[in-house]
This record gives sequence, C-alpha cells and structure tokens, in this order.
Amino acid sequence: MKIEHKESAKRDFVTSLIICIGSIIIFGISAAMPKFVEWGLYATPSLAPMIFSIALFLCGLIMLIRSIVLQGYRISISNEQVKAFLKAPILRHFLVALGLVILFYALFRILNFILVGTIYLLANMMYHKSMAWWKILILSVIYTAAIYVLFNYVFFIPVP
Amino acid sequence: MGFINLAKEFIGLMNIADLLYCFVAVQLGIIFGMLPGLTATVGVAILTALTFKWDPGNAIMVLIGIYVGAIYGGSRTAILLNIPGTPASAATCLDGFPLSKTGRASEALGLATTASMLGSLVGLIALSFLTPLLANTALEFKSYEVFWLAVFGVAICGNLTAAKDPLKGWISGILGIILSFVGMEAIQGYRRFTFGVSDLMAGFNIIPVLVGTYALVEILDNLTDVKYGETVAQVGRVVPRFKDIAANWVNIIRSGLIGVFIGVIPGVGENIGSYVAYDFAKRSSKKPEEFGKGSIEGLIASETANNAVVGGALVPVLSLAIPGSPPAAVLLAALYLHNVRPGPLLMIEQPMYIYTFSAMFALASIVMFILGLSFVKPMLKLLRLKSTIMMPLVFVLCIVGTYAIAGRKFDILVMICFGLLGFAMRKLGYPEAPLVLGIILGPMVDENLRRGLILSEGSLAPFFASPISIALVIAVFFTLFGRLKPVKKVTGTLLWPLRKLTGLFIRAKAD
Repeated sequence: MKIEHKESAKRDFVTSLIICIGSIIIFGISAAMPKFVEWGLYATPSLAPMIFSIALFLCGLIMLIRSIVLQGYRISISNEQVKAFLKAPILRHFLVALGLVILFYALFRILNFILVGTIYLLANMMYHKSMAWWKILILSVIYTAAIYVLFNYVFFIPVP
Repeated sequence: MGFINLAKEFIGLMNIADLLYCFVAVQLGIIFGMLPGLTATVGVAILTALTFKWDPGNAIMVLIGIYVGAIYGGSRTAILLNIPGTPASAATCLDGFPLSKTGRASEALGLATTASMLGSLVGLIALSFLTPLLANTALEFKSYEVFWLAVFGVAICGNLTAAKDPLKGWISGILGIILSFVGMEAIQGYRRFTFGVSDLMAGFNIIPVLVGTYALVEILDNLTDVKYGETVAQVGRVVPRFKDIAANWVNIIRSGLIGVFIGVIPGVGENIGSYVAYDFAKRSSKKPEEFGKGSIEGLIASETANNAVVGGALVPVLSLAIPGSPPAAVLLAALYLHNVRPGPLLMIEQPMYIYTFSAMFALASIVMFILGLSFVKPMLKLLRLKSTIMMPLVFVLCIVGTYAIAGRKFDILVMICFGLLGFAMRKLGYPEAPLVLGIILGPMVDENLRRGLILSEGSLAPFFASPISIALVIAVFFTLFGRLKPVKKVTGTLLWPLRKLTGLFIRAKAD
C-alpha cells in the first residue's frame, strides 16, 4: 500500500463508512420512487440514482477494505489530543469564519444589505485585527455601500 | 475559410468599446490570478453574476478576458513569492522563484508573459480549427454515445485530479452525479430528492455551486489558516528575452500541444497541463539537472501549457457543451445565461459564433501580453493586501453575485452548503473538480441513459454498437481499471509486438 494511503487510513475508515451508509440511504430512497411501468421499467426516474448509488457504495466499500487492511480502525483519541485540537488557533479561526458566514446568511434575510455587509466585514476584520478599528469601519461602510450602488443603480440588479 | 472568418471577426472587435472592455477585463483577471486565494474560476464566477444583464457579446468578452488574464496572472506571485496565484501556476514556482532569488525576477516575468501569450496562440489555433471538426463529429453522437462521453468525462477527471488516489476522484465525481439528480427530472417530470422543498424543484443552480465549491472554500481556507504577508522582490523593467524564446521553440510547441490536449479532456484544467508539460520538458532537456533551480525551459514549459489549456478547454465547451476546466465550466453556464446554446448544434444554428468567440480569445491574449509587460509595479502593490482584509471583501461580492442570478436567498444557502462540502472534501483529500463536473454532466448521463433505453426498448446492445461507443467504453475501462496489475499485464502482452517494432525502429535510427 502506498504511503499516502497509510497516512489517511484513519480518515478514510470514517469517511468510507459514511459513504457506504449514505449510498445505502440513497438507494433506499430511489427504490421507493414510482416506477412509471407504462414507460417500461428501464425508463424509471430511479434507474440512474440506483446505479450510481451502487457505484458509490462499491467505491466506499473498496476504501473501507483498504483502510481496514491498513488498520485505520485503530482510532485512539487521548484527552491531550482533544485539548490540543480544541485550543488550536486554526479551529478558532474556522469557527469564527463559519459563524460569521452563517450570521451573514441569517441577517441577509432580515436586514438591509448595507447593514449586514458592514456588520460582517467589521466583525471579520476586527477579529483578525487587520488594521485600526476606524479604518475597518470606514472600509466596511464604503465598500458595502459601493457594492449596493453598483448593483442597484449601475447593473440594475436589485439587492435587498 | 476558417482563418478568413476569424480575421473578419477580429477586425470587428477593433472598436473603442470592445477594446476597453477587454483591457479592463484582462487587467481584472490578472489581479484575480495574482492574488492567492482568488482563482480564475472565482473571477469568472463572480463576473458571470455581475454581467448577466449585459449585452451577451460584451459579457462573454469580459469573461474570456478574466479567464485569460487570471491564468497568466498567477505566474507573478509564483515567480516573486513562490506562492502560485492560481493552481495553474504551481509548476511555475519550481523554476520561476529560483530565478527571482538570483536577481532575475524581471527576466522571469518577461519570459512567463511571452510564453503565456504563445501558449494562448496555440490554444487559439485549436479553438478556431478543432472546434468545428469536433462539433461536426459530435453530430454523429446519439444518446448512447453522449452517455458514454459523460461517464468518460467524469472518470478521467477523477483519475487526473486525484492521481495519487483516483478512487477519491471517482467518489467525488459520482457524488456530483448523484447531487445533479436533485429536482424535477426531464423525462417523466418526477421530483427526485426534493423532500417537499419547493426551492429544490429546479435542482441546484450551477453558479452558486461553483462559487461555493471554489470561492467559498478558498475564503474559508485563507481565513482559517491565516498566512502573513511576504516581502516582494524588487522588479525592474519587464522585458522578454527573445533569444531564450527562440531557443525554446520546440519546447513551446510541445508544451502548447500538451496544454491543448489536456484542456480538451473534460474537467481537468490548467494545473495538470502545466505539470505534464513541465515533466515532458525535463525529460527532453539536455540539462535536466537545472530543473527546479531556475531553468528557463521549465518556466517556459509550464507557462505555455497552462495558457494553451485555456484554448483547449474551450473546445469541448463550444463543440460538446462539456467543460474542459473549472473556469470553462463557469463560462459554459454563462453562455447558457446569455442564450447561446453550445454543443453540436452550434455549428448549425450559429456557425459564425465559434469565430466570434475565437476572435475575443485572440484579442484577450494580445491584451494580456501588452498588460503583462506594463503596469507591473503598481499591480505588485496589491500583493501587500492582507488575506484577512481581502477574503471578507470577496465573500461579500460572492454573496451578492450569487443572489443576483435569480434573486433567491436559497441560492446563497446552496453556495454555503457546497462551500462547506468542498472545504471538508479538500481537507480529506477529495478533489472538487470531479464533483462539479459530475453536477454538470449528471443530467446528460441520466437523460441519455433513459432515452437510449426507451429508444432501444430496454436493450443494452445499442450502447455498445457504434465505433464511437466502443471507443468510449474502452476509454472508460482503461481509465477505471488501467492501473490494475492484471490489466497492465494483459495490455503489456497485447502491445508487446508494437513495443518490439518501435524499439527496433529507434535502434535502427540511432545506428
């Protein structure tokens, strides 16, 4: 087995299980679709989903077997590893980036675009301390307002 | 005749408005390509949304300009910072940066610019003359052949974008195909996998999928793994050394042809093309030990190939409606948005469009060359912009661009979901390109499979009847199973006589 497969054996073990289970679910949903017998069973809308869910299951199974051979099932997570992962700056940065994206989407449905855009840019750049707070505020407001004007009054594409 | 049509269309673009659009678009593309985290796909996707209410001619001109400029623009950061601005310029780092470190940054930039332009010209020849040929051949394609072509496209894309583990590439492609089944299917009108959500009836709009899979993934990646600014090397006047270009004419033609060939293969893209050309250049070089240490041959090979891929990738877009690269996939979506129907019927419905399109590509390549040799220093100042400032600004643009297509907030949710999926896939080593290609080609697979079976009343025989189908089936077989030892053994045995003959011929020539 190649080195790169050995290194990813544990991740592949988990993902292959998810892939196999997911493909079985997709197959089940497809099998429950109506058959439209008058067109012929070969024309049923479930044909292609069933074929490709089987293909996905087979690929997942091959990956599962490969990861088992490479002992990918030997997953041991210590408390120290969990603590180190939870304290890692990368995780914090990711959660903040994702959280702000979700916040943007949630507020986009309720508030005016200029306000939402300004809040998002302000929060993001302030978290990363990109520059002085007043520069961030000016940039956020001007940029969002410029995008709003550009889309609404130049491109005639309405933005909420 | 083709050349005359191309010349006519090119002359038609010689007006102030088109030239202005082209200059602005190519410069914007160079900026997108230069800034790490922004790729050609991101640039074309965002501008597709911004320009979709424009006149189709101007909109497509801008998108081609962005595409050409962005693929070239990545070479600047590759040479100056050892950071590829776009994945297409990853191979350029190998020799571009060492040249920069030895004080030859200006020379390297000049060579990269010239090589890119020459690569684009090779791509242009392919686009102008290969597209009508392929489109005419594609008219012979029936449902059975189109089905196998779509399957082959996803399979080869998975193979080449995850060369170390093609299984992950195929899983990514199959997942994309399955995701394309969401929505109302074309034959009986049944709603698949919608779970009662009315927004899913039309399936996933390709623009939010592309923006999410490529742009949002880069944004999350850059905001998660924050890198600090590097010092940019001083650059003088960027001048191409023509004697170096002239001495590498074989390298340029070979790399250009490799780029075109890789570009034509569905979904693969510029980064593969540049690495393959680099590899070929190293193998054929009289000084292979210089590669990786500042070899001009290596720099020229990678830059020629990645720009030649652009032209090559647009050949299947126009002739088969199958994208040859991720940015070409966005361009394909943009063509549909502007009521251009690419595919085999383009030669019948709008036969001159291929030459109009090629003329725009030619203009963009020339403008890229002009801008690449000028405005270098002011543009390099943009590299000082922190990613923690740039990425949030780009995200806001992505949101507005995605919303602008259909005015649905649901599209933003799709973008975010695909962004998260793409991010997870990247961290787990699954390539994104086959997923996107699967979503684009999935309807082709489904409809042609069922249509073919309806026409043949359930018989599978027509799927293996025509020479095109047989060739595609063999191609799919070798793509999926060609690396297995039993298959290699059998192939080796079958090809032994040919190898012997070739060996004898080479020995006879050497003697």
